[in-house]
Amino acid sequence: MKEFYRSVVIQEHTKIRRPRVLPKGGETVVRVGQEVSPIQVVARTTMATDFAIMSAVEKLGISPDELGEHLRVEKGASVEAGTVLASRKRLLGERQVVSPVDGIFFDVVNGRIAIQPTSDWLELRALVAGRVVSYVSNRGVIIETSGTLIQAAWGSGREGVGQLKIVANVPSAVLSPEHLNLDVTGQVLAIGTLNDLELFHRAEDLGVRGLIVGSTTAELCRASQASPLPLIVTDGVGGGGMSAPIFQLLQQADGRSVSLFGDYNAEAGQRPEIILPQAAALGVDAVTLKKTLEPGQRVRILGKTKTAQVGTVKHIYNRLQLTAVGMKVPGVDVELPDGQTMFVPTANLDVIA
Amino acid sequence: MTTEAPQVERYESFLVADCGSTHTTVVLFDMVAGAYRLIARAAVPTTIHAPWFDVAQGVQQAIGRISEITGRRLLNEQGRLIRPVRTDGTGVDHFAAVASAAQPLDVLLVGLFDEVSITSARKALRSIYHHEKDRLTLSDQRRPHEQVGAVVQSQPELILISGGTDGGAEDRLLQIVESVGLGMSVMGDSQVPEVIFAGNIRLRERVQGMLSAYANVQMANNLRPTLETEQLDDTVRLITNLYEELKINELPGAQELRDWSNHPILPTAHAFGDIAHYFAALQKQSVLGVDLGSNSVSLVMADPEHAQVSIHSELGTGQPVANLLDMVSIDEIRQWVPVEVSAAETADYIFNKSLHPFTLATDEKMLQMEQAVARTLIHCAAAAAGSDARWPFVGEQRTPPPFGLLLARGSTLANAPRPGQIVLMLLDALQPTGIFSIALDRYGVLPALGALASHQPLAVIQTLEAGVLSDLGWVIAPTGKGQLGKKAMEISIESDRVSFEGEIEFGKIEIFPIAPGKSAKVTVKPTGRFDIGFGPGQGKKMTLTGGLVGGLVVDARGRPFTLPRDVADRRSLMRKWLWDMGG
Repeated sequence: MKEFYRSVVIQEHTKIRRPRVLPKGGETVVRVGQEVSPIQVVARTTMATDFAIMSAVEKLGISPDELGEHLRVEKGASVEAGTVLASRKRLLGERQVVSPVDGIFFDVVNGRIAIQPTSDWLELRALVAGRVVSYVSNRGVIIETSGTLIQAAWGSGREGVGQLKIVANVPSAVLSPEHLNLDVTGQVLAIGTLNDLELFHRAEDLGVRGLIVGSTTAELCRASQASPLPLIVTDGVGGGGMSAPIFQLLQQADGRSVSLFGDYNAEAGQRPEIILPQAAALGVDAVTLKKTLEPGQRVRILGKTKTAQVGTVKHIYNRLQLTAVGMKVPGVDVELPDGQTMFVPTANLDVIA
Repeated sequence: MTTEAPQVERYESFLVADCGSTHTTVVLFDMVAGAYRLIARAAVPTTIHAPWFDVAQGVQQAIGRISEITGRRLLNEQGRLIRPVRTDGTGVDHFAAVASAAQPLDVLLVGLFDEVSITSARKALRSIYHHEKDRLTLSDQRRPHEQVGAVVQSQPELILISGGTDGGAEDRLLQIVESVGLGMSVMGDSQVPEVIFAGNIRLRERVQGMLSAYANVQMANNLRPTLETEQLDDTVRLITNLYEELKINELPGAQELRDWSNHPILPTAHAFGDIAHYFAALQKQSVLGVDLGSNSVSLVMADPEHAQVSIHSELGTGQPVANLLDMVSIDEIRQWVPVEVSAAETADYIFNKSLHPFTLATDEKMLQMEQAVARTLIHCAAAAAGSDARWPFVGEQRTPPPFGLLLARGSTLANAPRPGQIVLMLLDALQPTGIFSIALDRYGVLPALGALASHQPLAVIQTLEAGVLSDLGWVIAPTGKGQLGKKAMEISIESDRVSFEGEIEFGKIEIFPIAPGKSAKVTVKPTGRFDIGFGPGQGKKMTLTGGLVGGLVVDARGRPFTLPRDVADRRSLMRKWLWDMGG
């Protein structure tokens, strides 16, 4: 029986389909078959979180059941700031509930009126150049493109798009202040290692659109989550730079548009992704993910204090092997690019698809 | 299920799958020489996520491996389980499954006071795998529209509303429920959460009226009918049903597994609770269970009458391990590493582990960091479970009430290279007291046995008797404080081969030799400052059996013990303890 192993996609010339979905129902503003650019809005919805809420029953001095007969506008109606929403005549004058904002009369819940401001729209952009191939109910679309797909190890939860700029020529390079002296505004920078939180914030100040790094620190990962600047870590945390196959693909794409899908659900097994669209060659198909482990298979070695080693499976052991710390585990011999061979537990391997 | 061959009357065989978040383990039990035995076990990566999205594929792969090991065909050409056993010996009679692979249930908590209704609601929720996404209470400083936004943004699958004693506060809870209702109306049809109301019973109709337009609202007994009383059972029953319905049954591929079985797929922690309860009833003693999982840490406290499961989905050696960086200081984790390691290095290790949960330690420093993290995870879970269950204080720390058996499982424990390391991790993390033995589920079969326990007790008892668990040995851990280097206890051990008399000083942990599987008469006499469970200075004679750790472990480090502040002294002491424990 064939056994499948965890795989990571590091692949050029592949067909890619990505859903772009709103967090709640809304409207799709593109049609199936339409070509879209990365910054084009594909779907939108009203912001759900900024309602104006007024306790109408308190203001009018009535019970929630009585409010219906005092309403002056209907649910779903557009209102302007100052529009009278409900009123009650008294012996001396009239009590009124007025809308504090322009918006839509959204709902009445237990005597409270909620106005949804019309100015707040959540717009979902395509993020990647491609063609709309289907709708996802009233929440978004699926976009198809072709090009290079790199699954990363971690993303800060932000998305971005920009022109890729490789700021150093080796995958082990560490981002330094000099790298940020270049013209980096509006670009997505790629480098082996980022260790300095101040440089991250400097990049943010300079208007960098995104950062792709091979490795960084835990401290930086956690701090970056509060920043709008997208950070994608391709290999791991703790130093070691970027693995060679990823660096090579990025290097080949230097200057091209790159899309950073850093908003993902790790618990659902998703990974952050880097997509570098390129005109499709004939016969290009989606990458096959169900890779088996066999001699000759390219693998990435995980679980080392230094990340980013890639090699080729040379031998698969049928029996458990004793590791340096005394565990008995299934494993393989991996040949590294320098010709050295090392034993690696299969648990510490990513099969490269 | 295939129907190609007629079944014959014979004893029954069982195949049980445990679908964890990282690994799927399948175990085959069958009759050998008149008694049930574990015939074979196979573990493969769980296939719930990309590229498989089908939990059954991992189970089929593991079953395939069992077929390779045993030469017994269990799946037909379509990959379906052959059930029951055929005349040619292929197939198996029964199949059962447990699962912890499903994502936790996302819950929004609503209540009045953190110290009353919210505390009780959290206790009830710890009976399932869940994430608390947000909470709305009277102490919430957010304005009403922000609370509405919080409801929407938390995207809950369950809204658990508690608060108000029966006949007590009404208006203040209803105001919060209004925000919940508005939030749900905003969420629309795309995500309809379930609602359980477990508050003031006089508000049931009004809450139903306010929320039923947006969600299915179920009523449970008030979690806190009075300030002094707590009733969790009804809520626990409802949320357990919801978890099974929304999470386990919705696992991709779960239908295939259900088709093979006559029983529902159980949450793994509940099956672990069942087997702990089974042990407690069988041995007529209290049992503490610790499951250090990849996506959760579960503790079980069982006695012959019942078992209490406490599940902590915010903890785990896999993806949730990064949460530790927010929950404790890095020094609290680093204090358990007996070699030099920086705070940044420790944080990087933890973050990397959350990115690559499957990975194994390949050098000594990583192994020590992994075991330090394990101690901290278990300690955090025990602190929360102890607070919920009001474990007794020893000093300023809650410690588990006395128990006779500690059942431990989880890959970090099972993969530890030496038994002494496992025992030390558990003792450091839990700081238990009294006299107890430790059994390790090295093969990851306890939840499988738990799933069988109520239907096939004979199979379970015979499999356990056959030594499916690793018996690590007995531990004596007194309470009390003394002077470092001064005598804490006298110990004598008499067995066929060896006679030994000695003492242990306060501050030390030592192994007094008893060969694995051999019995010895042990006499323990603590000094007046120490108590092994029978009163200060009171001794005990008993017959104990040696385990894999190589003898009787006497932990005279005191409860709670504290580590030296000086880093060099602390590391030196940690290394000494490790050495003394054969780790």
